[in-house]
Amino acid sequence: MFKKGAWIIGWLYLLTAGINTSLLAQEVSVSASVDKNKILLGEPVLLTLEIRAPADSRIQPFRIDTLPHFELLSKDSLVKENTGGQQVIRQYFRITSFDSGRWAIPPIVLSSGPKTASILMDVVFTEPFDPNQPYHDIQDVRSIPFKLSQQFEKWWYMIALLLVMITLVTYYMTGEKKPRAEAKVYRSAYAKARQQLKELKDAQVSESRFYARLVEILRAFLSERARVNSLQQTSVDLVEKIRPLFTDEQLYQSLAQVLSLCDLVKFARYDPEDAEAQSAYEVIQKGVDHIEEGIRNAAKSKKEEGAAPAGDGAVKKQ
Amino acid sequence: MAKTGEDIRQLNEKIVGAGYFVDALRQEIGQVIVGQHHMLDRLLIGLLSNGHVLLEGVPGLAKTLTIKSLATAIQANFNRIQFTPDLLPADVIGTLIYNQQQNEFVVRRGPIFANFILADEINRAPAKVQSALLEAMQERQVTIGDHTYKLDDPFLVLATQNPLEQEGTYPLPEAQVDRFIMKVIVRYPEMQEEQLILRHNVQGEQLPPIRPVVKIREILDAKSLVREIYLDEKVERYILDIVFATRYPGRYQLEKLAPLISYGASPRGSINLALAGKAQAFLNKRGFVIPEDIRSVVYDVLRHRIGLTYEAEAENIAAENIIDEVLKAVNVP
Repeated sequence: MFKKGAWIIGWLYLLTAGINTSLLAQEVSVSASVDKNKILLGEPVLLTLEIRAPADSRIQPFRIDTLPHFELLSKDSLVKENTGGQQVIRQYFRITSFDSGRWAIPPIVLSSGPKTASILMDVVFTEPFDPNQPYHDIQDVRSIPFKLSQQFEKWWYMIALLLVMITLVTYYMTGEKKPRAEAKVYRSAYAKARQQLKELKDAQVSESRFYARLVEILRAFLSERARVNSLQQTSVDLVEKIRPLFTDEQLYQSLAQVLSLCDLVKFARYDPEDAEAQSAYEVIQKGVDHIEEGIRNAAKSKKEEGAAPAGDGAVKKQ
Repeated sequence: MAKTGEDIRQLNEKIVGAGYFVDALRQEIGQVIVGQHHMLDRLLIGLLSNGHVLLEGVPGLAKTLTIKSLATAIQANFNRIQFTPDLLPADVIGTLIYNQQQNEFVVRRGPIFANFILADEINRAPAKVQSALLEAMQERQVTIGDHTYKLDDPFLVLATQNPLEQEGTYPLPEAQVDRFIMKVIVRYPEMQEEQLILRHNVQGEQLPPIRPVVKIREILDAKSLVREIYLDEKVERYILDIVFATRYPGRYQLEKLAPLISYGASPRGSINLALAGKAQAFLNKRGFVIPEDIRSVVYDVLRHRIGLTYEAEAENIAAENIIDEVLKAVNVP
């Protein structure tokens, strides 16, 4: 009797358990949907998963890591709603695919058992799809609409520079004019030497300074006019160097003596007579005149011959 | 002491009187030495300006004979020291020797105790010997044991270097070379001069013996006169410009020389240029220095005082080329 009772109870329990399970299964439902079934390569798709369950039940949301042929771009937070003793849980995923072809989003299984239906997706290269079109792995460059604010951000420093330049130009054009430097009048080496000799004659300078200046004038004249490296040469070297410039031997010897006298005054504190100073002055002046005349004559004869302009070489020809 | 024009004139007269021996020496030595006037003049400059001379030249250019002849013509003592790698400082300056009979140490003076010393091939001796000689040159005295001995006056060291054989030599350091007032390059004789030398030697002509033509006293007087020679401020400035141009070429529009010079002439260069300029003025029988005097000695005074860079050496630029450029750039007063 006892055994029979236990057998009945066992059978009743099994029947009750099967009914309960089928009832619960009917209460929780899941679904999946997409906002579009046809996308271009890499185009995002909104995948919505929805769970409907009794309000008091505890439901675990979907857990998706990967979907074959699809890339999971983002996952939004859960949205829960309660409507008439039922709770609705929605999950939004953004997915895409980089594989062209027709792919199915597979059924997604909830941890408690139910699963969504699979969804077919077409992933295409172009829209409309043209199988004869050549292969492009990179999209064509698209033009960006012109925006003034963006252009200003890019070119602000050029605009600032332009403004500064305009300001400067305006300032210099309208600002106070400075008096122009007096135009330099070109004077020949000979004219300069004559002028300097005249100034020296009129100037009240010490004897030492007078003789030093006398030689300086001659050296500067020779350097500029006869292209002799006279400023860096000693008197002895200079006398040798200017030898070809002289046709008047007596004048040449006098000039050599004057240079020697100048050395005495400059380096040996020699105190010459006034007459010596006058004589030295005249010799230097005559020397300058003689050299100038020689160079001019040489240049003239060169010109007549149709040769190069006068210089050191031309003078040597004398 | 500032000199007046009259002082300089009087000094000039004195120099004309005292400088007679220069011609006498040149004439006397000229009987034995053919050519080499430049070397002889430089030896006289060294003698008159109290400096020592470094001679550089290949063997057989009558360096030893010139110095020996000069010593004989001046009636001075002459010693020759052949520098070798095994020479010791004591071989040059002298040492203490134990005298067994007297049972004491006695001083044996080295060959440095003479008026004229020819330090032949100075770069063949090690640094300690060179140093001992150069110290004696500078101090003009040597210490042996506890005693210090003054060297004779005039005291002139003429050191020679052979520029060809550099193997197994100890080149003089820059600081030691700087102690020589001049470094003279002894050149080959001219063809006509060498023809005369050839005749003298091949035909076996007996050279006339050198006669003493000057006394040491006269040389010492001449030395003091050389010190008195007037050096104007403008010439001083010229000397300084030349020396400074070797140190700071950029200041004299010589920027191109800057990468070629590793170091310029030292202050001793300026001093020696002035002293040598004075001695040159004396040889020219003048009581004052002119820029010409400076220019004629500048190569010998500065060539061993300008350090060249590797770049200059690679381009075969010598100190003489640097001095050439400096002289072309520095204005003569």
